[in-house]
Amino acid sequence: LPDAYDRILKELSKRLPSQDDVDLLKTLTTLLKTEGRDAAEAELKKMIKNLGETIY
Amino acid sequence: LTFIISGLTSEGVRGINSKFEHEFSDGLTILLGSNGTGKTTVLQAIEWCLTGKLSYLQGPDFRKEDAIVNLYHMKKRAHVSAVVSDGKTKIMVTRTRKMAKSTTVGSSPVEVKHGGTVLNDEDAEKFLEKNVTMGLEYFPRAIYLHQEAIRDLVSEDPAERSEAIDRLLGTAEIRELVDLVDAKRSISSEVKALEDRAKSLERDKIQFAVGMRNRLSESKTRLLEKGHSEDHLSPEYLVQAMRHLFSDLDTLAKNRGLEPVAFEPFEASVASLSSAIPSFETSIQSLDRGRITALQRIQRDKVNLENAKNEFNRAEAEVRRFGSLTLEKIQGEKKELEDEVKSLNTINKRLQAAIATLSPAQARIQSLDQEISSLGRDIHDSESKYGNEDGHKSWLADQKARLQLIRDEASRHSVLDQIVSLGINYLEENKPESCPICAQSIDHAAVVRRLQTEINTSMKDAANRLEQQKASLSQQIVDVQSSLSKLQTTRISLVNSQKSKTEILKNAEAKLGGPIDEGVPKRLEDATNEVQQLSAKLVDYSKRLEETDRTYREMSSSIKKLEDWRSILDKAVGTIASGAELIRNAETCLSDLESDSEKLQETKEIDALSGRGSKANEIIQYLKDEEEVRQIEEELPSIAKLVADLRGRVNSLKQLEGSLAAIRQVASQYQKEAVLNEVESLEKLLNKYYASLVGHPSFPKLKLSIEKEEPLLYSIKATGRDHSTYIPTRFSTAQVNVVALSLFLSNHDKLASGLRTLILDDPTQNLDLGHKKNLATVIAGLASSHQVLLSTPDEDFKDMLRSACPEAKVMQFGEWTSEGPSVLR
Repeated sequence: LPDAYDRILKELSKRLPSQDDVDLLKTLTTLLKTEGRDAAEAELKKMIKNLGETIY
Repeated sequence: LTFIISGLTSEGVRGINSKFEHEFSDGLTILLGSNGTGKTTVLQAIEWCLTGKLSYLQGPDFRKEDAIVNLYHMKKRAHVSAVVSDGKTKIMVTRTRKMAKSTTVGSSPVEVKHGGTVLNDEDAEKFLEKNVTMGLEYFPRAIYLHQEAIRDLVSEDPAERSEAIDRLLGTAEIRELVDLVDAKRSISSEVKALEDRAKSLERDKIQFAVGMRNRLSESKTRLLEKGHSEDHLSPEYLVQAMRHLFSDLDTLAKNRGLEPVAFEPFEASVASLSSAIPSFETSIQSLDRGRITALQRIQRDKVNLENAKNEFNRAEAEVRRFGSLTLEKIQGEKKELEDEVKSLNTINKRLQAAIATLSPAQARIQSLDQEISSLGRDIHDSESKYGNEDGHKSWLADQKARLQLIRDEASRHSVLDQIVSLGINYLEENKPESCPICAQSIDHAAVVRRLQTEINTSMKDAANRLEQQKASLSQQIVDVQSSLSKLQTTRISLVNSQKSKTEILKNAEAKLGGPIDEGVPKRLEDATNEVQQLSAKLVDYSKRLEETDRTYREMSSSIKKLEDWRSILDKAVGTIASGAELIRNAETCLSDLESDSEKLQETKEIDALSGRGSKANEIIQYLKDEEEVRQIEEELPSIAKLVADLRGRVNSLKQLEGSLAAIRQVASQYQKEAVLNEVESLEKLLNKYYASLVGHPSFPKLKLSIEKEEPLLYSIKATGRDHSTYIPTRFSTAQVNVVALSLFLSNHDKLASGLRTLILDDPTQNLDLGHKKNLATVIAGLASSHQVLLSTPDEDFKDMLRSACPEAKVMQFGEWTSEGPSVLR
């Protein structure tokens, strides 16, 4: 039987408009499944911070 | 449905430390005991063994420590074996775990023994999911109703209540995802920061460059107006100008007798010239400081010389005041006075010695004279009574002779007394009738009586008289002897005192070196008078000596002062001279100093150099600004690159934001659909259980629907034929508890798994008596086809269950200890 997060990924992948969105969803659901909510939140914050952080 | 849990062996898990074993049977088993006795621990051991997780051990607190492994276990290791059986087949599931830093990290490997097959890890988990548990997410929805599921559902917060419903409906994970991807605010904040930075770079730097260029042009105009030509505004021109400046400065310093000017070499660049300007300014300041120091020194020398000249004149006048007097003359006078004083002091000393000898001698002689006079009076008193020493002795001899006579008479009386006594004794013993001496006839008794009376009386009188005379004489003898002794002692003392007086006088004469014919008192008086006269003389001499001394000191001081000022003046002027010549030299020297001072006060040349330095500084400031403008203009293309990078980042963030929004949108939609599907599929079962449990005649049905979106909130309504109402707002928490039980039991019916076990942990926590009775009936019905493991602290509910289901077994839990729970029966 597939895990709840696997089912969510499978179901939502069909509905998302781009592959980038699917890739992002996959990253997040994998983290939720394997390391939990905190790890997924931290990863998302890291992504945003990396894009926003500049040295100038 | 096939399997039930038939046995459990656990150690080191949750509240179980030492090994805990129990066999379970089919039907209803009631785990009965007060709160904290370990009922939930036993049920959690089953869940953890079969699924590897504990559904409600989540949240920040559980990440701080490992809440699965028992804290007291020696090996810090959890080990649980559960046997699931369908009557024929037994499956042994064993799960272990070493204590980790947190509940959510670390592994909990599992082993499954099935027939002769042993499966491990992933194979074992898959086997369990397929044949027994249907997976972790189903366990808390359909097999094990946790206390927390009921507690969360009765919450007053609609969001918490909706989350609890999601957990029972199996849509909690999709809600979690919807919440997670809601990052719009943090992305917008980052986007805004990046856009602001890009705008600031574009606007500020470019505007700054334009402004600088304008200001540079204005500066140039001002410099040309001040008299600079275009050629001056170059480093090459400035190098030449600066070299001239330093050279002229050095010449000026040498002319003024000041330190030469040193400077670092510089080249035709803005950086090098920028450092040359402060160096020039420092040098010119240093030159000016040197000039001021030299001027101050000259003025100080002038003041000192003037002062020395005046002081020298004053000292000369002072010395003149003493006229023909010389230090030698004063010295001679002083010597004569000192000799005189010395001689007077010698006499004085001798007289003082005589007084020192005579004063005590006179006091002693006076005392001895008084003593001699007193002794003379004592001797006269003694002699007036008994005469001189011979008189005393003659008087004593007479008295002693008289005493002897009395003693003799007393002796005779004693003999006579003895004779009479003998006669009386004779008469009393012999009783003669005639006198033995005269032979005359006698009455002896009468004779005895007469003898005794008369003789005894006269004898006693005589004896008393003699005794009195003897005592009187003896006393007189003692007095005379005492007087004699005192007379002799006084005479000796008198002689001694007279001897002492003579000796004192002799000693005083010996000390004074001659006879004291006029007597000690006279001599003492003379000496005292002489001393007084000498003292007056000495006082007079002392005053004269002091005066001579003062004159000597004053004259010495004036001469020394004159000599000192002459020496100072000589030194200041640089010559060796005295008197009028020295004063003339000093005046020449003062005139020279005045001339030097006037020269140093002149600052025209320094001011001119300083002005040239300022002009050079204006040029260097202009050149620096020009270089800065050039650099900023060169930087402009790289700023464009930075701006492009920032814009690229903004796009990436916006893309991320778009993706997250897209995920959130489809996830929200999916959540809604899933919830509606689930509710629809459960509706019949839900109402069946709700009606059985709630027993409300007017509102027998339950309606679960979506109340609000973003985030999804549910409404729970009780409905009847004519009305419907919100359960949490109108009914007690008991109804909400019933909703939780209805949802769970519906799930169990719907989600078929290989395990026909229901685990209910304290399901009656908010129920009243009526609901409890209804629940006992429902559970009794389920127990006919299921294994039901139900924990409760409620004795009444236990009785209701046993009444509804007489074959129910009871596990009675005793006090929990650090070893773990104990089952009494």
